[in-house]
Amino acid sequence: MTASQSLDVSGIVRAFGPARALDDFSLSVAPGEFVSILGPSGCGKSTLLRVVAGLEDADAGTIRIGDRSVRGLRPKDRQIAFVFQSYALYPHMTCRQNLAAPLVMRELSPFGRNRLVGRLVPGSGAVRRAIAERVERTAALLGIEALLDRRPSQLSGGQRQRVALGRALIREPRLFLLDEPLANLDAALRNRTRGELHDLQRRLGTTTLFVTHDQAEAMAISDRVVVMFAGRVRQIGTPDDLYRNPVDLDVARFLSQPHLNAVGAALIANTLPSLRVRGTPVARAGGVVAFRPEHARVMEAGRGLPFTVRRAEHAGSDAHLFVALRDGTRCVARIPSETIADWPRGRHGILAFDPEAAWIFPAPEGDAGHAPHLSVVA
Amino acid sequence: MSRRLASALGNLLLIAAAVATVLPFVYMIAVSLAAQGTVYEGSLLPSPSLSAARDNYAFALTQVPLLRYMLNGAVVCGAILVLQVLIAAPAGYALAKLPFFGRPVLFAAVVLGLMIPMQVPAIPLYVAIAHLGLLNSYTALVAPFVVSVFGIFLFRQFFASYPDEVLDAARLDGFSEFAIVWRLMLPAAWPAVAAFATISVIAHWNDLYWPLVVVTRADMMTPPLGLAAFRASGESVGNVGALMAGGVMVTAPLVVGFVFAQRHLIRGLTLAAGK
Ligand SMILES: Nc1ncnc2c1ncn2[C@@H]1O[C@H](COP(=O)(O)OP(=O)(O)O)[C@@H](O)[C@H]1O
Ligand SMILES: [Mg+2]
Repeated sequence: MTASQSLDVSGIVRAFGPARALDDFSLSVAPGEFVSILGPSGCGKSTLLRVVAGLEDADAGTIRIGDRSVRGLRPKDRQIAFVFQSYALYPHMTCRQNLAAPLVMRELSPFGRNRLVGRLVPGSGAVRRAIAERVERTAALLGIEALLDRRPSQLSGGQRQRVALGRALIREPRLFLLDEPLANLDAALRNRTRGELHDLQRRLGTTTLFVTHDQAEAMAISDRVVVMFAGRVRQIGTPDDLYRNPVDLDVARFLSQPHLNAVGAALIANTLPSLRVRGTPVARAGGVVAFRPEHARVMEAGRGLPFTVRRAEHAGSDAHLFVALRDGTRCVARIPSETIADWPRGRHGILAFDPEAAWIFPAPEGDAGHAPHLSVVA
Repeated sequence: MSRRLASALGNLLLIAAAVATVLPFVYMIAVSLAAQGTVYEGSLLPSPSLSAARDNYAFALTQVPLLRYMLNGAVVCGAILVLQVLIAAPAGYALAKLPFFGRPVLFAAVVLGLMIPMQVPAIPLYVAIAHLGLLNSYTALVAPFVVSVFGIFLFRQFFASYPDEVLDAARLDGFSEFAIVWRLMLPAAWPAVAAFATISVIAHWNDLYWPLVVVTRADMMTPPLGLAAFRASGESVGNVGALMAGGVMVTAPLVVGFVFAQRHLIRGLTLAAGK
């Protein structure tokens, strides 16, 4: 087992034509750390992994693995394992051959690899036996012994994912790069697998970069999460950190899926002139006030923002109530599902929220402070 | 009703075409089995006789070195095929998957090359081979064909749809670019390989033009050239049966091979065409 390695990525730029997929991207990962890269589709997550792996050249910036620059090193010499979203198994090889491939290509000479001539190359028999043994051990670790003689086309998505993982960890890499490895699994399997992935990483202690566009996934298994938009780091922190203290409205929205309320500070100041959000008087703040549906309450009367009910969505024990404020701003409140009948369409009420669980953010660019149709993340 | 009629007509047309294609072969076999005199007696198919058949085949095998021709054909076709694949597979891979300067131009040149018949470069090739003193050699029969633009084109079309992420995975796993071609791409493209092999072998086994240009010695002749020489030599004058027996023996390996390969051939070609 190679010791865990740190990863330092600094000032990476990667442009495709005029568009920058990575724009001055920097990140430090401690040895053994599990870091998620979270961002919307197309923000450059895969490009980042590909640049770190050496599959793509950076236009600028440096990458260091364990204090050594990897500049000029070919992908195979970087000792990095990559799990692709499509799993990228070798289609005409059995799972056993898939698992063995990285070892066969590294540890046997071109002649030793050949099934016919290989027996004549001195020493290759011992290497072959060692490889077979490591394949068995890795298969046992992942519980895929029974699949070894099948081809990828004969496996389910979850089984393929396991084989891909096995092929990645069999050569004991310095760094794991996982590109949305769970995205193609169904919901139940995804939740189970992400737990197992986390356990496995803890057991092996290998430094890991895990790419996902699913905030729940990132929050569930990471030591730290990097939120990225348009090729840039927007915020780095522990899951709890990000959830409680997002730096801006984009991050708050991304981490509050499916819904985040954003109400113009002016509207709130009109109705509740003395309200303070975490100590800051809203009346003087400007921008938008953001809060989550679970921190909002609806009442028949009282102090708060008047609204009209648009519709309700049942979600098990809770329900989401979609309302429109007086200026048209859409908001969502979480209510107990047994109270759905109290809030028929068109009914008027008052929306209140916990000011200690809300944030004041500058209005998003090109937005005068309340854009009714943008204020709820769909 | 009219649809049925149309399909019946269509079938009739196909049957007619099939009969027209097969008939010469049937006639060739029939003549090869018949006695000397009976061929021109006027019946559509001469009647076979065992002793005549034995004479015809024995004559063809003893009067000309037919087995030698067939060995030459096998060596030439085998060498051409192996070298063609060795060159076309990496070239097709580069054109399909490796971004490099001038790739579109090069690919256009390959497509253009598909349209140039063998007769165009024949004279310069002949002059070069003659100057090198290589007339009447396997090299002369093989060398002009080792770069097959058709093979490059076919492999490129096949390789283009191979998933890029698998190639990236392979590069991380330590495959060299050549290892990618031989260990990943070619095994995945075996229908294309089978189709290409069939087409190449048929073309070069049957080729009369090029051997006629560079071979004059009997011991270097390929089957079609050998048969032509046999017919021209006067040995076969009046002995159509022996000539046809030679034709049957020269054609048989191809027919047998095609029967085995036809499923792959069709699959390989339809896959390539569908891309
Ligand atoms: N090979 C490429 N050629 C051109 N543009 C690319 C290429 N790879 C990625 N891009 C662009 O770079 C951006 C980031 O892509 P990617 O890293 O795949 O995003 P993500 O993985 O976050 O969805 C996208 O806008 C994409 O269109
Ligand atoms: Mg991606």
